[in-house]
Amino acid sequence: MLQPRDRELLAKYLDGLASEAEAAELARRLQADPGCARAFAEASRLDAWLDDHFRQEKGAGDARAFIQRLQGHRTRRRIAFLVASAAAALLIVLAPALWLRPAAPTNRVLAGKVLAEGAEAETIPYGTRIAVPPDATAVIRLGDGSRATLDPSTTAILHGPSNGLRQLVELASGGGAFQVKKANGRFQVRTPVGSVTVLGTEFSVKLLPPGHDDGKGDEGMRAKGMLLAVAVLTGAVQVQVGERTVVLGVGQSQVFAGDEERGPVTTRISGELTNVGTDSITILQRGDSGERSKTLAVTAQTRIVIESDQTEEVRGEGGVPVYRVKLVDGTLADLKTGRRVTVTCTEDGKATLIVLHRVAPRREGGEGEGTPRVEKPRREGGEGDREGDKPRREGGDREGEKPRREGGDSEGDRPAVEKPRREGGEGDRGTKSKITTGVLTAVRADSIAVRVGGERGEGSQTFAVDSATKVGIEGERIERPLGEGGDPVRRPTILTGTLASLKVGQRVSVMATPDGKALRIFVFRPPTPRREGEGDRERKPPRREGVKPRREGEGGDRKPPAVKEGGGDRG
Amino acid sequence: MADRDAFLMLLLQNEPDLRAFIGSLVRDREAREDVFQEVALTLWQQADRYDPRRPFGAWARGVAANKVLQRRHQDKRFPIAFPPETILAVLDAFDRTEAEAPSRLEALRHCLAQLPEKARQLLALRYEQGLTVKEVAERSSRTLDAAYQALCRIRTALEDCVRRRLAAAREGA
Repeated sequence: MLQPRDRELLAKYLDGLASEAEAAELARRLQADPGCARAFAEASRLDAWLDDHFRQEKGAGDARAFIQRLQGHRTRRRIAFLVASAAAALLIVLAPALWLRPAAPTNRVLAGKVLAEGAEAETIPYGTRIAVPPDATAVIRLGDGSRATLDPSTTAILHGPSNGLRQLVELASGGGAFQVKKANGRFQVRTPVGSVTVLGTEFSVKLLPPGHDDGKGDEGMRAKGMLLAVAVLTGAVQVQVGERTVVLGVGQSQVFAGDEERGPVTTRISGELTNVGTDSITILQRGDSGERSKTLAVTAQTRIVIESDQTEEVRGEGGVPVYRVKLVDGTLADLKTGRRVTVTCTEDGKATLIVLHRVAPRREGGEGEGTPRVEKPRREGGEGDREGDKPRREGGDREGEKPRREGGDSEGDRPAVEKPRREGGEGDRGTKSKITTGVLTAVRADSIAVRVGGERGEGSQTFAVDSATKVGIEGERIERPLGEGGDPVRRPTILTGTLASLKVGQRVSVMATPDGKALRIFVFRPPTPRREGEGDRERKPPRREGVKPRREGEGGDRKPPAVKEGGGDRG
Repeated sequence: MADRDAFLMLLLQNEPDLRAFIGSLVRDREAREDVFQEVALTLWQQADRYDPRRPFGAWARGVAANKVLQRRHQDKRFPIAFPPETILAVLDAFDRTEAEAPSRLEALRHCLAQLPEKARQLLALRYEQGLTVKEVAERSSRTLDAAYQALCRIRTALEDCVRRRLAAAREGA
């Protein structure tokens, strides 16, 4: 019998309300009492099942809304937008189980009109090519008891049992909703893009063309550029597109390109070049689990680019301007051992893109600090290159990246995004960099001055800057939530800036070496009420300053700025 | 195991229980999803090593436990409250209760259908929207303790309902 205290600990733990001491107490109880552990397993299962149950309900709602959106606009812009230049789209949806009548030996038309081999038919033999006239939908009960509601202008072949499948439906054009009876064997819908197989559950399928009035019929379906859109309500489906197999679960949706368009699956790795040959390179990756080398083939198709000292403005997601390191084309001769690279490579080990990172002369113990990430090398199996990951924190345009600000602005106070020990790695540890927070009072070509204020009074510090000094600007981006409705959400982000972005009066944190050389400068966003047109403000920092004249005025030395108050706002 | 399709089926059939096991150890939603994805990938990659004569669930949970232990070891900030010994105790408890899990799940579905609308709404806040108990309290205009107690009562009622259904089924058999 479970003790009341055990029950309380279980509930608190599962509801995220257990303190550390209570979690530790629960841990001891679980070890000591198998009955308690058993109750814990059962309660955890209940919790997970409830989570699963309600998420399925939510997923069903989302997917239904997805279908309705597609259906409501399928001939017009929104579908065209969804599938771009696609000639056809297939939406596959898992729906709750439907009570279906027992299976009939052949396919029977329950409603609407279906042409089989050119003539209207009520029963349809397996293997017959059917067409639904353009003026109405048709409902067909398939041989296994499943039901297909076909859209106008649909052509398909109902193959019936085929090659071990319980039911095979080949959609050539048009669309339809399928409600499949639960039974042994698998139900498969085959399209020119790929096939979708239900994995032991019940589902419905809908095939929607983006522009079915293009008059191309089958030819249109077979054209390049087709996309397969799959959304799952409950259970799971297996989508096979070319050689790629993807399993989608509850609430998931994904659009697949046709095999013609699908590029090879690539991964990115970062590391240090240890060997450069005429047809291959070897990269040394360092990670938590040690070092490992990877040799990649270099071909004539391999593109080599080099990070330059300059930045360029590009449009990021949602049109938000972001600053990136400008890349220039390079050759194999530019690759030298010891340099850091990020390589995009195919599964069979061919390098398709090599980004040669810039050497940061200011660094003593490594190059990672001075190598802003222009791409997003994936961390593979926890063994990703740690240095390669570091720049992510200052990459600026990554969704959900939150510049954690800390209250107060006394000397040494630093924003979490500038954690030197974590980000700087060996280099930072070696230089023992220091963070200074204050207000910019001067910006010159080779130095900046920052006025700092703390408990011990105010002072001014000058830092040397050069092209290696990195500038991060606190900004925010507008993010539209998925699905219907919902207001745009502002999310904090960090933009990569340049020295030209610095303006007198800005509040900054400067990470510098003990001898006063600025390694990084982080520009805080003024704590002014936000207005519309954030994107412009982020792209043009001076306008932001104009919003708050008081801060502009602080640029002079006449009146010391209320640094502490400014920091307090942020806290 | 040569038949990848059959393996996939097994994986999907055991997914809810595997998620439950991982979720019992890792309470943070994102972290738990990460672990699940890693485990699923590992299982898929190691499909050839699976012996079909052994229970799939136990094998999958073993892999998951190792993955959690690995993450715990590699990342000190990994959100897990239990030491390795407790993880093993939980693993053992899940193994021992696996057999009756399907019938419990089936019973739960029936019990959920009988749930009063108010209770359903509260559970939806907690699970469908993924809110914390504190957020549930705010949304439902209750105190934190009241929301926590209400959720506890609903879950207890569901557990009782499941127990009664299982007992009735046993008697009927």
